[in-house]
Amino acid sequence: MNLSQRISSRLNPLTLLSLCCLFLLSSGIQPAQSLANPLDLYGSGTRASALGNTGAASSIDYHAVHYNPATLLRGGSSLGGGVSYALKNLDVQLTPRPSGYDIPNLGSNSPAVPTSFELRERQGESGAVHSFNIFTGSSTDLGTEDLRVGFLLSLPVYHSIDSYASTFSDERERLFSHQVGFSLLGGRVEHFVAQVAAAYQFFDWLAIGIGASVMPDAYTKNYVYMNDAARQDDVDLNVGLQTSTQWRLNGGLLVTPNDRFRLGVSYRDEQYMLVRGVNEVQVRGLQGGESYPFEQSLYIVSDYSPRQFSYAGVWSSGGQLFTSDIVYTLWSDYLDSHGQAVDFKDTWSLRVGFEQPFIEGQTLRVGARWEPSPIPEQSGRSNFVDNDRYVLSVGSGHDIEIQGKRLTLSWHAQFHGLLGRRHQKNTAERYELCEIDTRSICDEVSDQLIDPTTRQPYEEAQGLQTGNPGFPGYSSGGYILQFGVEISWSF
Amino acid sequence: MEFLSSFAKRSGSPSIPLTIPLTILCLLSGMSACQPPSPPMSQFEEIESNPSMGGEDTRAGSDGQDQTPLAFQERLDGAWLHYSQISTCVDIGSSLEQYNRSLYTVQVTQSEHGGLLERWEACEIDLSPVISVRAQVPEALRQSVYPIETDAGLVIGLPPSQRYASAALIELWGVEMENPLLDPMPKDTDDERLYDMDLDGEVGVTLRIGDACLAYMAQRRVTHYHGVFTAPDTIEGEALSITEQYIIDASSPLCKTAYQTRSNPNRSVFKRLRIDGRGGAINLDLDDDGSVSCDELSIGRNELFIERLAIIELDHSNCQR
Repeated sequence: MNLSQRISSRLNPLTLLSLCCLFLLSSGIQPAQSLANPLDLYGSGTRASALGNTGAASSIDYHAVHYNPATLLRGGSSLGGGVSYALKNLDVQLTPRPSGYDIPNLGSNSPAVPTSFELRERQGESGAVHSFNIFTGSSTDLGTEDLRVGFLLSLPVYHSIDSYASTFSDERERLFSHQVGFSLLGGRVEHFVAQVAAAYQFFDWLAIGIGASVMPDAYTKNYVYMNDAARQDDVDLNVGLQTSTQWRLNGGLLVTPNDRFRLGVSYRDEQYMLVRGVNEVQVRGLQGGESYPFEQSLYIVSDYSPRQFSYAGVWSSGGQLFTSDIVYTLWSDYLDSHGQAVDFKDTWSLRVGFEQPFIEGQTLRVGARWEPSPIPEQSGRSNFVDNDRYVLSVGSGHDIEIQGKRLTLSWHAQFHGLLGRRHQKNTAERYELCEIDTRSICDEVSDQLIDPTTRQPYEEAQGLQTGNPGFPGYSSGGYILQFGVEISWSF
Repeated sequence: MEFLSSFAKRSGSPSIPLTIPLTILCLLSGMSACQPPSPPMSQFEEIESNPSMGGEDTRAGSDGQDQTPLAFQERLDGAWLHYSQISTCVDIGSSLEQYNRSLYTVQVTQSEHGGLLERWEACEIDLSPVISVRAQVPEALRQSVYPIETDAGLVIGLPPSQRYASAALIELWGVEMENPLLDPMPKDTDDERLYDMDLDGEVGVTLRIGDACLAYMAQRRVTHYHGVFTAPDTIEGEALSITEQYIIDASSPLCKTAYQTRSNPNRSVFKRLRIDGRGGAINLDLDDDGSVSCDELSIGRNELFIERLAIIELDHSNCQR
């Protein structure tokens, strides 16, 4: 009896799966800072997208690289690609600001930029935006029975909004976009995704896969010389940029107790793009000090995908397939794009899909999922926006035999419905001055600020003055339509 | 699922024509249900705009009652409020205007020949910000420097055409000199004339620069005021002021930088108001001791500032060479 057989004789598939679940849940892995990526949001490929974004036990080709590398072993070699289109009609409506809370113009004594000098009007997110992504991938058996390797690539090719800047979630954003917008949905999440994986069939009933995702990482050092401290539009600037990549782990296992039933568990580490840097600033007239030249640090995080655990089961018979994934996403300890900690909740989402052959070589697919929002009630200082979301999906696949090999044309459509949500800022008897760790709606102008004319506190500074774009409340809702077509070749 | 299989076999139709219309129907029906709800009502009450301050008759006495008509006094003896706004140009590449706005009470004793003995108490010293950074004069510094007595002021002429000229008001911060007007300023930290004037443990005086740092420094400001009576209780005129600074140390290198500064006499003015009630003037001598303290001034200053003392706003164009 060899080693594999000895181990196999002592572990049954369900025991192993339970142990793996326990290990993954108790491994002390830190929660991720999170946005999502297009594959998390819509699914990878048309089949899984139509099946409710399930795949940790049901993937069959190169899309297994994303869902569960171990499921690469359910098929042979594959090659394919496709295009997807998304229409996002996401809407944030703002409660009108009551009078008397603006930042007053106190001349040179103003501790914050007065409301009358705001560059942009306060607004919510509105209007439909469009985006296209292309994806491609491949898997190969390398001429073996028990080994598969594969890769998957998703690239944004068009978005009707050119860029998504980093944002502050509170009153500081007044001086930037002055907008309340969706935090975890929309074009912000449609970014580059690249993943590779390999899988090995250890036993007839057990396959294990491991993979990685990769994102760019940037470090910038910039050199600034300011000849006139009062002329900040006139600087000499040199920019240094270093880029590298950041690799993060994916992995999973697939347990096949019998021909009709499969169980899968997968883990996907957090992934993100990090932009770090330092600006070295020289100002004529200020040279000579110990800390000269001045340094400004830059630390921006973007394109976060959350760390996830997926627990999946598939029942199949006669071409019919029922699949269900339960996905645990670690949204707690979320850091916003400036590295500030916020209170998001971990979530469990439920996904189900059903696949039914209709006529020879054609398969109908339907799916549904429920995605609870990790964002709690925004009654305080922050203005994160997200909604509980249900997703309905449908699609079909059409096989064509060419020289004994299977070419599959498939499509899918998804509807993401966002359940309407309201946020209302809480009143208080006394409002704290805004500090970095203040969580409640806060005062930007101290009540104690002294008017040099009257030598008394400014009347305009009494009570609450805030430019928080989400003050005094807002609501959000909307929908996303997403379509995709794919052609893949199995050989 | 057997049902679906049999249905598919019976229909014999390809799946695309069946599923696409169903999909579109489902999607369209769902869209209308997902519009955001109307935003919530505000929990915050509307606040009416603050009524503009002022409008009161500032010539009324501090007790709110009308005063007797103003009348020129033969002598300047008594208590005066003296508000100076000294403009300085700070050169940091560009030239930026900075104001030193100081509010004094001045107790004046006039000699027979028009000479003035004046006791200056600075109640407020405000420095306007330079590129949003404001230097603040701590209370300990103010108390350590003042009061200052001068004995060479002069009033010339007869009412209503009197002219006023102050003595050289020499304000020394953190340094003592045998001849405050003519001795040179210290140039190194070992200069024995430097001393801990505000008793905070640091040599010189301590000036707070914004929220960033503390500057430990010595300063000499020499100011001459000369003006004319514009009303029986009012003298207005120009200020000529020279300020020299020596920064001994700082809590941060940013505050150790000595900027080049220039006097800007064209924008430097003062206004002096009688505040002892004589000749129908406002009376802030609430305890009737013949002088007005800073505390007494603070009670009546609002009325004076609203109507009679205007703050000059910064205008950097006045500092362009």
